[in-house]
Amino acid sequence: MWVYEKKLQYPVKIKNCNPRLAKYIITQYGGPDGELAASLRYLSQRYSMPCEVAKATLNDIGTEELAHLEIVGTIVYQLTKGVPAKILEKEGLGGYFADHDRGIYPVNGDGVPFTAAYIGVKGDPIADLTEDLAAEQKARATYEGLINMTDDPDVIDPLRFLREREVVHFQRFGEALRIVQEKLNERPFYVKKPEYAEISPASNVSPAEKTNPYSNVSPAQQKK
Amino acid sequence: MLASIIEDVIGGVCMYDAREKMLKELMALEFMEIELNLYLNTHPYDQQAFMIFRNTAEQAKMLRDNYERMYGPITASASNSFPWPWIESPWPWEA
Amino acid sequence: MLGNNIMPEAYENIPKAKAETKAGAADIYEVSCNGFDMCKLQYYNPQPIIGARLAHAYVPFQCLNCLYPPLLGLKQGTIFPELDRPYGADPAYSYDG
Repeated sequence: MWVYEKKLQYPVKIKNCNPRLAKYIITQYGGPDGELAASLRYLSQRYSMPCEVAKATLNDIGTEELAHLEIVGTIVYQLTKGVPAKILEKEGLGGYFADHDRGIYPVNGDGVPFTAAYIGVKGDPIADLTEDLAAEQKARATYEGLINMTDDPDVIDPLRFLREREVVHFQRFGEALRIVQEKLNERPFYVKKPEYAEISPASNVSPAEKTNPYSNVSPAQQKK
Repeated sequence: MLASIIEDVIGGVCMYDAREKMLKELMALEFMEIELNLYLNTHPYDQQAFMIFRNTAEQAKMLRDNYERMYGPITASASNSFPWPWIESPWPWEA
Repeated sequence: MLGNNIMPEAYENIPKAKAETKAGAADIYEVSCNGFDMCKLQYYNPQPIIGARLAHAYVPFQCLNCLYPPLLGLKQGTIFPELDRPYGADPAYSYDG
């Protein structure tokens, strides 16, 4: 479960409002390569990971992405705080303002709302970790684009921090992928154990019916 | 006061408040904790990193207790006064 | 050796971690490392990958060297100098600082 600490991971104090920039930065809140997508992706993938290192890595990085989500939300909030509606409309946030006023709603830079189609949870550990590597690079590239779009040092500072975090996360996922590959390569025949080779007691079957269909022992002898 | 302002300017973010200075130090120590946490997740047998992590965690705990005593709770379970202090401003996105 | 690291053959020559943060909150501004340039070179020369296979992706393991002091680490975005790749620092590559 999660505990909330009443502080940002990195300080954000923006003095100059810039609604046009806020319209672009919100893509890292609710866009395809944003922090919401990242945290949901990692926190959803961790359930089906085969080894503890991968579970811990996904868990902790997913949690950190929630903290980054807060930072991006704070940046957008401070960039639009106190800006009159007419100026918001002039700067391109008219549609967003009509629906959400000054609230922070997960959309991308064009106003397309967040969708789970942005994330992939394949259940296969190598596919999932490789997707996470790609996601970190996409997020880093997006932050670089956002840094290129502004000169305000108060905005560049947290964006720079978040970009560096993506670089470090890439390294961590790469190491986790190495460890998972190492573990899976110990089994000589297949990457993923086929369904028929997994024998586990069905939980929704009454004890009287719990027999293993693939066992060598006859059902009558199993029902003991 | 001037020295601490200069120090914070060099540190990258200008914060003149004593509360914000302590909060920034707490952010730095907890950030170091998180970084070492992620490192140890993929290097679980690295003893040196673990010693540094324990050291940092203890420093962070001391600083957090200090901050909470002076300025209010960081986590809801650390609320230690009446009326309920958790709801008080500033919330992180406001400062 | 096996008790020390998860991939023993990749850690034949482990450089010693030099930085240790001393006890006490006032000391978080100090670090006992000689300089971060040597540590940053690990970015270009990491632990070699042994036992690589086709159709697999590999990222080299990181080795602990020096650490940035906490405030500098927070400002840079990481406490590891070898992973500190600021944007725009290397003009030859626009995607990797």
